[in-house]
Amino acid sequence: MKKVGKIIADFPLTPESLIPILQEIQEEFNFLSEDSIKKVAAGLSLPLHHVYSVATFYNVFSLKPKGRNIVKVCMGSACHVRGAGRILEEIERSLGIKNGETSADGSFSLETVNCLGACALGPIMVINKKYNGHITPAKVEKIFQEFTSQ
Amino acid sequence: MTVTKQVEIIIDGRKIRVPQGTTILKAAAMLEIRIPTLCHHEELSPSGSCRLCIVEISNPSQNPDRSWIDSACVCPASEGLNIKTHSPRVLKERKLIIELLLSRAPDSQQIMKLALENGITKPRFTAADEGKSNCILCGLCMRVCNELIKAEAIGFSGRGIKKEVVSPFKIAGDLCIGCKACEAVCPTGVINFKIENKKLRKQDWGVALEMIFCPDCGQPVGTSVQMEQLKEKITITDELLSCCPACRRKKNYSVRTVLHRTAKGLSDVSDYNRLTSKETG
Amino acid sequence: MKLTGNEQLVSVRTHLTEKKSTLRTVSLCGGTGCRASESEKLLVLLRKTVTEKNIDITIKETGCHGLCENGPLMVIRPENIFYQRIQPSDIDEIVEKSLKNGEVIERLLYEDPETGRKLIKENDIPFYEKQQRLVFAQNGHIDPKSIEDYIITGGYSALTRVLSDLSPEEVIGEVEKSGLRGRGGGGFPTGKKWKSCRIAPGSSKYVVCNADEGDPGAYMDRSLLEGNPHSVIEGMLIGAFAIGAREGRIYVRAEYPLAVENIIKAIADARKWGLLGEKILGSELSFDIEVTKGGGAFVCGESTALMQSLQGYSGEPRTKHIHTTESGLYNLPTNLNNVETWANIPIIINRGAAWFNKIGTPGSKGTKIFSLVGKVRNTGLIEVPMGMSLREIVFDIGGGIPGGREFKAIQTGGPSGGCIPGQYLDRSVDFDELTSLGSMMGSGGLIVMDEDTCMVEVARFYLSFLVEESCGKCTPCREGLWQLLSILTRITEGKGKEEDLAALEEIGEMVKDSSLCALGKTAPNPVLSTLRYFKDEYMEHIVDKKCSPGVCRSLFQYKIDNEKCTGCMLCQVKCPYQAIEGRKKEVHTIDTAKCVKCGICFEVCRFDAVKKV
Repeated sequence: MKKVGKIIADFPLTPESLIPILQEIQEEFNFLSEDSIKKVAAGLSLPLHHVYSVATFYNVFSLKPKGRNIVKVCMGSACHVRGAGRILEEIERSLGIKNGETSADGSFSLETVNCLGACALGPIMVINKKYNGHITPAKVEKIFQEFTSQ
Repeated sequence: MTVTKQVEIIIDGRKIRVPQGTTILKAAAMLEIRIPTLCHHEELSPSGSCRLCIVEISNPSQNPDRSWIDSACVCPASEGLNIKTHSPRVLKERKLIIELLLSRAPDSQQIMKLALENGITKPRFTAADEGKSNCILCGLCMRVCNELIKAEAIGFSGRGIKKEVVSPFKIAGDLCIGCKACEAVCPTGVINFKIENKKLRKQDWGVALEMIFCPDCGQPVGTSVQMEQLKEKITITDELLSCCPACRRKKNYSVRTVLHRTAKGLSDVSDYNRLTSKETG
Repeated sequence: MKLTGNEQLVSVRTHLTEKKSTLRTVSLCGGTGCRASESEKLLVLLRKTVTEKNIDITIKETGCHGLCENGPLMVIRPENIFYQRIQPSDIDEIVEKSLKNGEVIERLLYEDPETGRKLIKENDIPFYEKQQRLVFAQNGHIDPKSIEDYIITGGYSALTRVLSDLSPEEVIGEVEKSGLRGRGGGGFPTGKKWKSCRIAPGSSKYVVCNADEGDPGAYMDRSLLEGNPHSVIEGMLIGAFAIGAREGRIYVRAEYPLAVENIIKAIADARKWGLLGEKILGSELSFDIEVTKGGGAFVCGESTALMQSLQGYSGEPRTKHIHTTESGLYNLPTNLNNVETWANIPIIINRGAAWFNKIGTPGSKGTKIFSLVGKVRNTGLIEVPMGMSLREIVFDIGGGIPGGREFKAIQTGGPSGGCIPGQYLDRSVDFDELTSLGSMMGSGGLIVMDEDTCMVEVARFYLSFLVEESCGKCTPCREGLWQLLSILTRITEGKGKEEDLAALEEIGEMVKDSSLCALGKTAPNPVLSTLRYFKDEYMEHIVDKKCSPGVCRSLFQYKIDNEKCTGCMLCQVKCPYQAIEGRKKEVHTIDTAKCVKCGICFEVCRFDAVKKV
């Protein structure tokens, strides 16, 4: 919580600091805890429901802790017409979790994103920061095997 | 003081002059033309979200061939607008909107009634939550709570079909004063406080507030928090304050004055009375 | 150094130009596409090797070159040798042969798929040949992190011209005369917007740059911010001067980390050089820019939602009876344009409105950047004059459809655009023409679809996106889109009824008419445009319970062709669901009860023996 206080202190205490502050907290902790949301509301003198509505409105925020490794599957139009839907299913099967979930051991979170802007490489899956382009369902299993063996 | 420009508009063929910027809903009301609406309340900020009050608008002097749809509650009057509140296009789209609202609140008597009035007998649609919330997300409850009562106990969460009215982390447990203004303004009737074990409760919001009961007849009067707040705002003896409206009246005190002064604008006092009568009845 | 006047900028430019012009350069593309193809590794390796071999050459990491499909890309200048698909193992040879001796390595050149000829220069490649790069002109040339690079190429000369020679009204006049229309989607005349913001009363005014490029399949704005951030800053400076704004904001997608990094660096540099801040270049203009990262909500591309978000609220649009040019950010006059629009401004000022006005069609002037993606050979970013036909774009620049498949449709205008079928391929890209076809220009995504694409499923896909991205405020958009999606899903699952088509149209028209903001008003486009052009496909799903392209999985099954199967067991090994039976060298069969139609067998079979029936 100390860190949350420090993050808040870095910004002017005005309503427009809300989203940047939440972004920093999200970046730091991988999620927004109840305590941090309450602390931000108090820090900026904003109603809690306001902070909460912002925290649940935008895609970048998560109210649940995320896994150690974040798998993002691009669901943009370009990837879609190249079969991203089937890739996602294959990843869900391979990781044993559904889109939006985190594995029980906390190792993976699976998310979809609207466009990574690397359409030429579609379909794309990003594990943490590593891009894996031109994926096919058959390649999915191997990518994860390689990833976990590293 | 600047004088607001008067503009002439036509609503359903009838001319009216109103100050520029008057909403079409208000102008129509002056002509006693009723436009249905669910998310609008005179004392609260406009929302323009339920879209029930859509009207067909054209500006013949600018473009006689073009007409568009807008919601009357937020659209301001400007010179030369020709407004149709019941054109075939409006009626068709409004009916569909009601059908969609019904899918969200299938158990609501009020919405069902509205649907029937508009010729919808069998709902075609199922909402994303299968109508479990019975909430049409008009936002009146949160607007009244935040803007008028200023308890700031509830708000929206999420977006799109996942949007809902919530009390984040059940914060209403601390912030709600039990005024039940949200219940009063809810157009679907889904917000229901209950009195159980001498407390006013709304479990999903974490509300459990001490109730005061009328010493004369034993009827519930209000929560102690609200009574405390009332005491700060009006001059009233503790004895009168703790009485239920009926007993207060017996004691020859104008209930209307009290209520009007405490919840200015929230209703029509009649809404407030409806509330109390619901409890007592 | 802080520049205090125009003359100083000119002399600095001359000085920098003299210093750098003699040097050879190698530009490695560092756009997100190439970075995804591991260009960063190449850069490290290249730097190391060049230092080791002691070669006198400037290494630049530039923004996107456009031909992302073939990345990582490299250009060696002044010879203009263009290399593609470079591997770390190629670096040694490139340094030794090309950088040292100017030799060309044949293997790394682009091969024309038609003629089989190897092409050396970027501009010889058909992908680039037909493009007209104005806004993108410097993208593959300059180092986006270097303000000097921008200044050498004439950067900030439009600003100096404005500050020394023109009045705000004259600037607005130029922009009006140029015929520039907003590149963000609506296509509103930019000059007109500026004018109404200039005349709007307000104690303070804002100019805002929309860089929240939310359209999936579009990344023009990102590449501009990444590759040439100063052009956006210069455009905003000119806008601020014309409108009378002191403060600027850039609202950029958080999912674009490199764009955020580069624009922040560019702003800091511009401040250092006295190009942002108080009394810019000794003039009366004082202006500064702040960067705000978006939270990932498509609806924040809508102007009122964007301003809500900038002020720290959820991105819920409000009705626009009062324009944001009169009452926008903090209820003050606010001029919002997108990245590409801003980047056009310095060009118009430098070359003149008359020159700019000659490019394009009567209603749409200048060039437009598109991201050409989907089922097309040369995927990437292109910039073409308005009025170019869709056919030229898809077939000449894009190189047509890969794998010998047939063209089916091109989707323009982002998720709430429309799908345009083959019979309109000769129509041109122009705001009004695309609208007349039931689609729109949008911000510039062009998604090519081939015969293997199911149009009903495409409509369902876009609707599922829009349902997710609707803010949920108004009933038509929130509930109407959900119902459209439910019906489309039912149809793709083979449970459609004929009356569904009428319902789709009825709901679609209502949502278009009655929604509160532009997102809702355009959201039914994918349904309505596919209904208009591909009704047969809908009927096939509903009546015949068939999906010819083999996309909707409830409507086909995988089957092994007895004639073609060699019993190699590959599909059986690869099947994650143990749904394939059969012994080695015997014909295999698929157990339809176990098969989930993941398509892996279809993908791995080397004998084309797995069929969709």
